[in-house]
Amino acid sequence: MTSIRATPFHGRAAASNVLNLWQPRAGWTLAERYGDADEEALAARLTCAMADITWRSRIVIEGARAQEFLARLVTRDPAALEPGTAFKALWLSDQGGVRGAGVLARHGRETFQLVSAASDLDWIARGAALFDLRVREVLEEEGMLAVVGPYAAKVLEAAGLDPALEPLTLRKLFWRGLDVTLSRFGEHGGYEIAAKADDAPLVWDRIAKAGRPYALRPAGLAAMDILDIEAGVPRPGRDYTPASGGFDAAPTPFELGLESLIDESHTLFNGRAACLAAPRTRTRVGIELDGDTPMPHAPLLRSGSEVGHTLHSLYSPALRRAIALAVVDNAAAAPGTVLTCGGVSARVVEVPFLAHPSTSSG
Amino acid sequence: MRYDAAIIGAGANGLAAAATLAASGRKVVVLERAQACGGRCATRVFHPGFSASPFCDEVAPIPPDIFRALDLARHGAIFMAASREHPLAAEARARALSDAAHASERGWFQGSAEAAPWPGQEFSERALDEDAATAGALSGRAADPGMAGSALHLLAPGMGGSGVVMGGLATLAKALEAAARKAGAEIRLGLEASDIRHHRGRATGVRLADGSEVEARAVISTLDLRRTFFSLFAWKDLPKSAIERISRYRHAAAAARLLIALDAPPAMARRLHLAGSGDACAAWRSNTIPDAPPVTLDLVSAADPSLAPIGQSVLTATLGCIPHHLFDGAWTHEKREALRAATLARIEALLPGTAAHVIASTLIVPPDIEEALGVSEGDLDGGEIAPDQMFALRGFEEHPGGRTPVAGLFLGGHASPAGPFGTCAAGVVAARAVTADLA
Amino acid sequence: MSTPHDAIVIGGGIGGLVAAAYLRQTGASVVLLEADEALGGACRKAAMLYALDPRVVKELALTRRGLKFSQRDMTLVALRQDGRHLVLGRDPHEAARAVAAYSPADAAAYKHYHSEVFALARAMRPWWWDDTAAPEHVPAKLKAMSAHAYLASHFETEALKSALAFDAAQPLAPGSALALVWRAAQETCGLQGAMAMPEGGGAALAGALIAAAKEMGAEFRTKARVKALILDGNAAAGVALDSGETVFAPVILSSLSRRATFLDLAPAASAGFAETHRLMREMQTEKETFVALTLNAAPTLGGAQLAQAARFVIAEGEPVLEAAVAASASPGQYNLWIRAKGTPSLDAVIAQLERFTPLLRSRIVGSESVTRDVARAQLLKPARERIATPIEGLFLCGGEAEPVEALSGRAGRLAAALATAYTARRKKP
Repeated sequence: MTSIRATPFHGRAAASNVLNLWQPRAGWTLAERYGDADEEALAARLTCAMADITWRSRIVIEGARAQEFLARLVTRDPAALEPGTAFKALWLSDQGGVRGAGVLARHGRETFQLVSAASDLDWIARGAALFDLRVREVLEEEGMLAVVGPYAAKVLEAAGLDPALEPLTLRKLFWRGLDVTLSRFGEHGGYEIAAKADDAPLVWDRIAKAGRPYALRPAGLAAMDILDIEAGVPRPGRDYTPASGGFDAAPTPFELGLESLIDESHTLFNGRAACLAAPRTRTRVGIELDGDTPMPHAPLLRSGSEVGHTLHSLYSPALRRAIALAVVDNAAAAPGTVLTCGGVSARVVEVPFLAHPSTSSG
Repeated sequence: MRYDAAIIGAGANGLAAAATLAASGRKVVVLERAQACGGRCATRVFHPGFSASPFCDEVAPIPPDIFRALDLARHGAIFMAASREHPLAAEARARALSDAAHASERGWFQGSAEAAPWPGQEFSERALDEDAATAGALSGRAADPGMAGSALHLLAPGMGGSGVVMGGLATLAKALEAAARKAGAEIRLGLEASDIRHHRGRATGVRLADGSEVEARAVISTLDLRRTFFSLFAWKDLPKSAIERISRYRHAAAAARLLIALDAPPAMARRLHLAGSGDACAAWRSNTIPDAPPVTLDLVSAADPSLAPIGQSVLTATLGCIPHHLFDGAWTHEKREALRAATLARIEALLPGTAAHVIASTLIVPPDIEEALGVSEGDLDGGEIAPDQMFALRGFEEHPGGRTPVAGLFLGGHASPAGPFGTCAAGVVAARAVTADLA
Repeated sequence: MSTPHDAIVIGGGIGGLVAAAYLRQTGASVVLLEADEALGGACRKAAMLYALDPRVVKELALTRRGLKFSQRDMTLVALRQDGRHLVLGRDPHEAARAVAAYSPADAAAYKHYHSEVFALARAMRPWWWDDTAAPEHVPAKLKAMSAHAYLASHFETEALKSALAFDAAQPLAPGSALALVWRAAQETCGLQGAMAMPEGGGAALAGALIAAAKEMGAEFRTKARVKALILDGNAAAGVALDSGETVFAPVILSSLSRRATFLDLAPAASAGFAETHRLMREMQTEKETFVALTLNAAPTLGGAQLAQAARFVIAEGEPVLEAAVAASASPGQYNLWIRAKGTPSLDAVIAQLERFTPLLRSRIVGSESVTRDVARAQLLKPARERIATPIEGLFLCGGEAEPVEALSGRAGRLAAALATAYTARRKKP
């Protein structure tokens, strides 16, 4: 019997997970899907969905030199962050290879939290040690729930939470007896609720109840993966292997399409010189395939010669075709370029494939 | 100005045909009688604050290749939980598409050669098994599931299978219109076609009810057979065999709709089927309203919260075996009220307490459908789904791909071989036939 | 606060002095900060030069400023306990004849070895001398081979192998074979692979360099230890001294080791996280000891007639060392300069020498001993990587920035050139 590592929402998730399909992610055990992953992804796009995202890496960096350290770590200047605000950034190896991407939020003058899809604790902890800082990982003690979709704000309101929150901000609230943190960090325009482990089931219940009239559904990992690709967000481990060595120069931010997460005027970030000097010959694009079959990690050809390759690929139930993120030579990256992949016609499109589920009313 | 193609009817088929032709560089104009595009793809506010698609909640599945080619998702039509279409439907449509590439040079009605069997042709001899799955296939129809050929309904889902689109089917109409316009098609609303102009056996354009004319090298009609030929041609101009053929063509309108606004959601699963009484079909055949017609209930607001205020609901009831003509006269107000009350009573019996929450309800019967959409007898299928009216026999057998005895005139609606095999299918097939013939 | 300079040089050894002089030649205002009381650094302790860049000698007119050589082409003499000393001049044919007395096979091999090493040295010289692209034709096996294995693949005579191996700081380390090639790529007094002794010892070299830098107008400050680098963002802006004083300049050339520069002076993690951790983990294991003995009589190493034109290598027993003799400025006195590997005590060094020159101890009238770290060789690192740093405007110019740590001045010259190019780029709008 393989061991599971339960998130604080596990009990509630299990009750809804009638198919009993679970998947490991980052060491945790999460529901792969509660019913049909396509339907859950569509619900997240058209009405409302909630997803257990406790598996995300959450690292707290705290101390007098926290800002100084983070200025060296991430590709944006944390001095610009007011408490309660956040930005998306990368962190690079010494030679400019992307080690990680995430949201850095400032909780207080000397307290920050970095949330990302993959943990890079060792690198961050050892870097922090150079500044006499200790970091700590948030694990079972706190659960995190995402609420996504056009009705997400209305659902929160119906549950008694004030949804008025700018993107990339957070607020600590006392919500009918529970201490929670409400934030808007995600790529899908939704919200995240972070709560103590003991309170997690109650959070789940409140959202589920408030969401019923809005056709809210729980969404598993598979559905969120579909949303990620449709949003054009490359994920470490799935789409690319992040740099693991301290001096790895690959992958570059440019070939992953993440250069917007770099503030070139921020002079201090690790790997900056190498990053800015790296050749920018390839870029990340979206690929629409002329069929249903996903083509992950497959070569892309133009007139018979290889011009790039796909990263992860899934069937998009919204677009009703298989799509993929891909890395291609700059010359083949113009939207509308027609390529072939595994014998199937493939077209370059801009990402995101679809506008993210808006959270403006309805 | 001479168009490459004039298309009569801006429903899903007409718009899909227009988008397909315009995308290949043709000059296209769509002529629509109503003030808006979409035909049955509509959403109606039937009571303040409550909306529903009046004629059907879903349409037949949109074939994936057409959905992709028209980029409908990006134009706003994203569907929840579309069923995968029956594979034979996809094959039959592919057959219709390949037929579209072959022009028939024979002009007027002539004897046909032996053609290869169509995929799914064997369904013409099979009956549906009596189980819950068939209830969906027969929703809004009057067919005996024990009768040979009733299996054909599996290929022709008609009123369901596309999945729900937020905001009702009007969202699909808007997306199709956007696709057609983006491709460069011209759409003219509020114009009814009165005649198809022709010269020496060849269609040359369309005359409109206001007297104006549109010149085109090809005409696609998405109207059914009767409306296309008997309303838009003078009888003397049609060959006798064609008239015979068209007169034999049967419609089997059987659908009525009750749109119900409730101030609270009833305790029910999303969809429920109420079987009809055994004599419902017989009643329909004798033009009587059955006491207990088959009913499909759909709590549409559970899937689409935008249809009703939060906490309130829209419930649709699709009735089958409801005749177009009544043996004893017209659809009077009393008859409508009786049907409405009877249906609500059956719902109350199934879900006690529901009646108390009904705020309002609207009944739509076959004559209403006929008037709203211009479909003969209110038949949304454009012709009975029967062995002698399916596949090649649904159009003019010897003129494949939606072609007709009139050169340059194409059938692009439900009354064509590809018609039953998915929304937009007939329009795209006709467009391909036009392209092949104009080349 | 003093007015800002164009450049700060940290450390007054050969690297810093050369850098300061070259920077002055471009017109930049330069201040050199030395922690000690006197300038000169390691030069003062050295006696034999083999890596001094001829361009530095010429372009800084060191000859005119006091650098003269008493011995130009010192023959290598490997001393053996049994008295059959091996004499290897620079001329390969003569050397082969000497080797033939021990092993005819080795004599033939020697010519082959010599031509192979010298040809490779010529091919790789641009790579080590300048900021050029990587050499194409380095045999892969050579990159990984140790000097010991390389020599063993050519020769059988132990004395020959151990004598030649002396030129590699760690002859057993993988990659040290290239150190022998590097040695052959040097040019002293116009002779490839030669070793020379300046008149007046290393102090003369120091004096010439100081004179050059001074005459060109460099500013010097001694007893000025740098405590920390001051940065503006990630660009050099100046230094803070132990005294609390700050000196500002947008260009800083440090002749300290990379480790000292980044771990002691630069802000935390400014070298890069991985590089910082690598520097922290690096252990300095290699050391060498310079001993200077003043004698009241000429030592009789290897026979009196060779005493003053030779570089003696003792590779039998411990410690392994090289030594050279020169007449002292004081009449009747002689200097015996020794460089020993490791950290032997003075006694151990003397004992080792006494095996070959008895009565040495009784002739010693003065002695000095200093131990230094020997930096790890970086023979395959491009020049730019050895000298430029992740901090803009900060360059390394000391011995540790050379491919093999030695008194060369090459890093100082190159650092000045890179710093000048950097300054020009900054000025462009």
